[in-house]
This record gives sequence, C-alpha cells and structure tokens, in this order.
Amino acid sequence: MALKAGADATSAAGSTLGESELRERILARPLPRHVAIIMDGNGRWATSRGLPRVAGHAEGVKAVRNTVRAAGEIGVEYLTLYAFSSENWNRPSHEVSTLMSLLERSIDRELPELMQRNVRFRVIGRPNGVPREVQGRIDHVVQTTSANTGLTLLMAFNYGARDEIVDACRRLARDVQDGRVKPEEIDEVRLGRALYTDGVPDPDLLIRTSGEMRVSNFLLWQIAYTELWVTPTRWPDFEPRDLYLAVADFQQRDRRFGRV
Amino acid sequence: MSEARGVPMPAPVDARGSSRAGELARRALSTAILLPAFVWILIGAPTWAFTILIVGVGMLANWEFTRMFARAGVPVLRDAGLIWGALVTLAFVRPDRAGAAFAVVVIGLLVASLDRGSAGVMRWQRVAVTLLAVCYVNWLLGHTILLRALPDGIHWILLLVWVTWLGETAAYAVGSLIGRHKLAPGISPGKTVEGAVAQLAASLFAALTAGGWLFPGLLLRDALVIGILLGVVGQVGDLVESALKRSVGTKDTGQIIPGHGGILDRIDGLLFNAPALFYYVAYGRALHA
Repeated sequence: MALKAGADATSAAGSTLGESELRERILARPLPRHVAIIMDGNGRWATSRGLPRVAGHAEGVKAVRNTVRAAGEIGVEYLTLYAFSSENWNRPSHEVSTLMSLLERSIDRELPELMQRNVRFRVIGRPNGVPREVQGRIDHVVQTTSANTGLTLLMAFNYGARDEIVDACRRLARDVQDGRVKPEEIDEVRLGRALYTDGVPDPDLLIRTSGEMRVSNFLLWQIAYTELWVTPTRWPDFEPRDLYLAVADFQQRDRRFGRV
Repeated sequence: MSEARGVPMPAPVDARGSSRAGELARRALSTAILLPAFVWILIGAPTWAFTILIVGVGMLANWEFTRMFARAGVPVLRDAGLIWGALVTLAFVRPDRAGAAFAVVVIGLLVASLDRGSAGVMRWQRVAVTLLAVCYVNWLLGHTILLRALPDGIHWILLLVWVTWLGETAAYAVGSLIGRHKLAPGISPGKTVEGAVAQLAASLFAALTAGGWLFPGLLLRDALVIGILLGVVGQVGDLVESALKRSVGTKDTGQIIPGHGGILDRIDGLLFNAPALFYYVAYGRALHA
C-alpha cells in the first residue's frame, strides 16, 4: 500500500520537474543514507541500437560516473552498484573478457575523479576468479581512496548474495570450531558483521533499471526492509534526474521496518 | 504491379539553354534552402521527423533508381520497390528486428512477381533488379537512422554529411580545374586522379577540423580514421553509382533538386559512407568510449 501511494506521489509531484528543481525538493527532506542499484539493461540498450553488447557496457560506465557524482553531491553516504555478478560469468567469453578490460581501464581512469570527489572505493564479492592484473588495480584504487571521507562507493564485483551468506557461515563456523564463539551467540548482528558489507548500514533504497522486478541474488540479507524502486529506463540512459526521482519517491513512503 | 517504363520525369527546371553560371546559381540557391532545412530537421525536430525524412529520401532515390532501369528497358517492379524499400529503411528504427523485416521484404517482393504480367526470364529479372534497388538504396541509407540513434547521434550525422560533401565538392572543384589524369574512364569519364586525391585530402581536413565546431570532443584518432575511411569509401560509392548509371546509358538520375540533378546523384557517396561510419563507431571504437 505504501509503495502504491509513493509511486502516485512521484508521478504527481516529481516527474514534471526539471533536474535542479527536483534536486532542491529532495534536499529539503531526509535522504536515504545508503542507495543500492542493480544496473541492468546495458546489453539491451546496445542491441536495440544495432550495437555490440560491449558498447552498452562502455556507455554504462558513463552512467556510473554521473550517478556517483550525483549521489555524492546530494549527500548520500553509501552507494552500492551491482556491476557484475558471478552468474554473469556464463556469458559469451568474448563479452566477459572485454568487460574485464573495460573495467580495468575505467578503474584506472576514474581514480583522479574519485580522489577529487573525496569518494572512498570498496569492492564486495569473491576475489577468486578475477584476473590477478585486474585485482591488483582494484586493490590499488581501494587503498588510495581509503582515507577519503565523502561518499563510499561499493562496487559489487564477482558478487552473489548467496555466496556472501555462505562465506559468512563458513567464517562463523570457523569461529565456533576455534572456540571463539558459541553457537547460541550467533545472532543477526554477528552474521551481519561476517558479510562483505561489514560496517555498512543496510540499504534504504534499492533501484533496479531496465524494468525487471527481480532481486537477482543481490544483497539478500541486507535488503530485508529496503524500499524498492524499479524503472524501465535502461542503465546507459540512467541520469541524475532518475536518481532524484527515486529518492523523491522514497521520501514519500511510509517505512515501518516490519512494525504495524 | 505496374511495370512502368519511361515514366515522365518531374518537370525539369529550365534544363535547356542554361549557362554554367546560371546552373551554379541554381545549385547555390538549392543548397541555401535545403541545407538549413536538413539541419533543422536533424537538430530542432523530434527524432521521428529525421526518420521520416530518411524514409522519404530513400523512396525518392529508389524511384529514381528503378526509373533509370525502366527507361533502359530493364524490367523492374517499381511500385513494389517503393513500398518494400520504405519498410526496409523503417526497419532500422528497431535494428534488433531488422532481420525479420528484411525477410518480410524479400518474400513480399517475390510474391509481387507472381502477377500475370510476365513470364520466363523476366519474372526473376524484375525481382532481382528491384531487390538490388532496395538493398543498394534503402538498406544502406537506413544506417543513417542507426547513426542518429547513437549517443551524440546528431553529431555523427553532421560529421558524416560534412566529411562526405566537403570531400565531393573538393573533388569536383579540383577535378574540373586542374584534373588531367583520368581515374576510371571506363566507368566515369569525368573523374580524375587529381579530384580523387583532393577528395581524400578534403575529407581528412573536414574530419580533423570537425572537433573544433561540429563535434566537440571528437578524438583525434577517430577523426583521422574517419577522414580516411569516408574519403576512400565515399569515392567507391560514387564510382559504383556511376557504373550502374553507365550500364543503362544514363548520365543524371533526375532533376529533382535544381542545379544538383537527381537525389541519387547527391547521396551516392553517403550510401556507402553511412554504413562505414556506423560500423566504425559501433565496432571500431566502442571499447575506447
């Protein structure tokens, strides 16, 4: 019910406003601390234009840049982007390898802007399976930006939420085995701290582009009470204005966290 | 389906007895009217207006193409070519479905050949020539719709037109002023080696200078490749059209644009350059974006 009311309020209040008016409006109300985005639709964006799928990923990098900028400017504290799930490894190997080289190059290229915008960069996901060269560059960017105090950008990379929970269980089981923790001491807090997102508050708002109404194995534990917002816009076409629309919609909603 | 032969041309605008200066004046006047109109449709109007323009230009060029053959006595399905050609161009709005559209067009043309009007060799010859018209004119021209749909689509179209037409103008000017050595006398007696070199140089110049005004942010590497690519491919397209015209004994494809002649003569270079530019942008430089 709350979702429906929120959606109506957005279409009535937000969709006709320009980017800067919308931005002023959302800045007047409490913002989500943590926004998570499932960036979907790069491939479809490309094929609908007669372009190879990799061209969609290249264009998607621009949308990432604009979104990081916009989120940081309005004062969002955490932005998690679901860039590449472990399931995506099943794609044609040509696409995976070009995606890798694209990622490798864009990570290097974006470092100066991340520094300039005071963005702290983190990666969530399983490190194995990532080429060593790529991993080295990621580590370099993570270390270089670790002291920044602005937006924290979490890039989900080779990430799967079930993998994450399995890895957390293994860690806890090891702790139990070593006698550091008793089984009855394991609770939500401890499990949360064993996840890749340790130290990051749960997302307040989850955005998915390209219209699919699915969570697709993303942050399953963390989104228990997260507000969802789905847009038909494909990721390369996602603009700061779309982010503001999502936030405006979020601000209209009645969050109950499981209470009545 | 009519099998028109010798269909009357649109009334020629004082084609006889015109001096060279008058011809040039008419040419300049046409350009002064049509170029701003084109730029307005590209920049000021919604995307669908550009699509309609391209479909319309494709239909006109297809009509000129089939008329050229019909006049030479080659059987061709002119009405069917016009309709199915329009569909082929329109299919570029949804390139992921273009294959399906093309199948419909091929089948549609073959069905159109089932009328009682012909028998024997004529039956497939009509389909073959009409299909050539659709592929050569409408299919190749449709790539401008793909270019328009790219990020910076307006700039890619402006670049395509600027490089192609500056190159062709330079070839014409240099060729007629100092051209001595025939390039391909068997195909196009007017073309000279000097003109060809001038076209390549002017295309390269056009592409290299475009970054300053037409296409801010165009990379030098891309400008270099595009200048050479379009400077060469456009001339090949020009030669192909000359060869086609020569095969049916025509010099001009029409008189629709005062001072310029037929529409097909104006877009022959573009027909080859549009796909060349699109596939370069899509596949040649996608990963550098």
